[in-house]
Amino acid sequence: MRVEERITIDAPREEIWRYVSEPERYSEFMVGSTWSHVPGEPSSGPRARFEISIDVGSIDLGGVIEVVEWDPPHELAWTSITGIDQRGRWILRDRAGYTDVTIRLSYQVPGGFLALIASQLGKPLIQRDVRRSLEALGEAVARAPVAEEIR
Amino acid sequence: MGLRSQVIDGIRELVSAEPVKEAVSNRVPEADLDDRDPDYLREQLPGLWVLASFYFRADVRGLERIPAEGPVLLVGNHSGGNVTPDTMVFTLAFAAHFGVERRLHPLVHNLVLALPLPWNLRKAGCVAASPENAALALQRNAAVLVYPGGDWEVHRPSWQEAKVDFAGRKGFVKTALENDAPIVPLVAIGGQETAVFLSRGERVARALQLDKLFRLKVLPISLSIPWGLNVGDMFGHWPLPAKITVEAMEPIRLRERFGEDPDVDEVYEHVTGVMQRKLDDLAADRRLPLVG
Repeated sequence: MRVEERITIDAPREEIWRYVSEPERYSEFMVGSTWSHVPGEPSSGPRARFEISIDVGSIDLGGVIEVVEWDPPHELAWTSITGIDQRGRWILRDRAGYTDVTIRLSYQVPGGFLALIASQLGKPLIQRDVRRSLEALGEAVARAPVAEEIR
Repeated sequence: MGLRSQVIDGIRELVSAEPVKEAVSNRVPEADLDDRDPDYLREQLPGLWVLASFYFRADVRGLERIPAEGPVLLVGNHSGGNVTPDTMVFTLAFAAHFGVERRLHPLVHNLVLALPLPWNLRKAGCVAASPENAALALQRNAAVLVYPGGDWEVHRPSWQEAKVDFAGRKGFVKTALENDAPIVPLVAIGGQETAVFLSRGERVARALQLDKLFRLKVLPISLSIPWGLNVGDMFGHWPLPAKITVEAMEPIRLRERFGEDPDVDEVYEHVTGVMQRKLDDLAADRRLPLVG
């Protein structure tokens, strides 16, 4: 199952990269989720690992993810190490001073027919939170002081 | 001899017959922690999630308070008759939060393990409730879920929903002490609205010697789907869609709090006290039956 949402933010790509490249800050704008660095593992860049918890319906899905693609300030992707099978990707595209920000989540629910039902029922919940997260990211970027080295 | 006495004598004779006793005892599996199958559990999660999220609108709080590693004794109040949605909801939430890799062993009544259910309880980690089995699981750094009130509490009348009633059973305190495991109180509400529980029928159970035969203190009477008047609840029932709320409280480390040699009665009073206060809060937040 895949969920993809996009938003255009009035800010340079590098500024948004500051947010998406630090998963520990995701808790600030990723609705219904908490992210914390796994002690003893890299906290930034490729192979960084984070413990995550994502609210879906009545439960929160926990697990550990690892950053597997790191291409600043263009793309970042992660994959799950434990917990439900999932992958995530941020894509930042420059649009003449604006930035198109895309987040893509793919996940696989184990099991048979009920898993299919659960996937379908869960998708709108996840999609809603992802959309809100992008809006929250846009607001966070708008509130943040503009860094000298970026402008 | 009155008709009532004749009926009771007849049932007593029936259930105390050797073949019945043998059939029940033979179907009680011995605890083997390796029966637990994380892959089976993982595949059950989607179905449980649908039930929990859309049927029971479950709200599980405080999972982050449960130690992520090491032995822990989760002590819950129990509701819902022989169909216990609070257990199902919590098992799902625990497995989703910690991952199926973190061992959770709910202690369940022998008789429940013997029933032909659509779920494989042993693969889900359930073991027969006994201090020995709890110790085995704790020694393997598992989280052990125990409902001290058991059959007594789970069949309390619906109007006693907001009452923690362990019937003075203090074995869980000894288990926590002997295995040096912290206690995490687990308080749930909503399960007693999944049917109209009228009476535990404890006097009838005593008269039929169900305690001696099957470790049952009750012969509950309820109004439930699809049976209408349901005596015994042996075949379960279809639960009404009551909102289930479960909250895990802060861990209680017994020797840190009560000294090197804690008094069992004092610990019991403390644990049931904090649970009752939390249950009062959860009940106060509840506006309507079923709706929550």
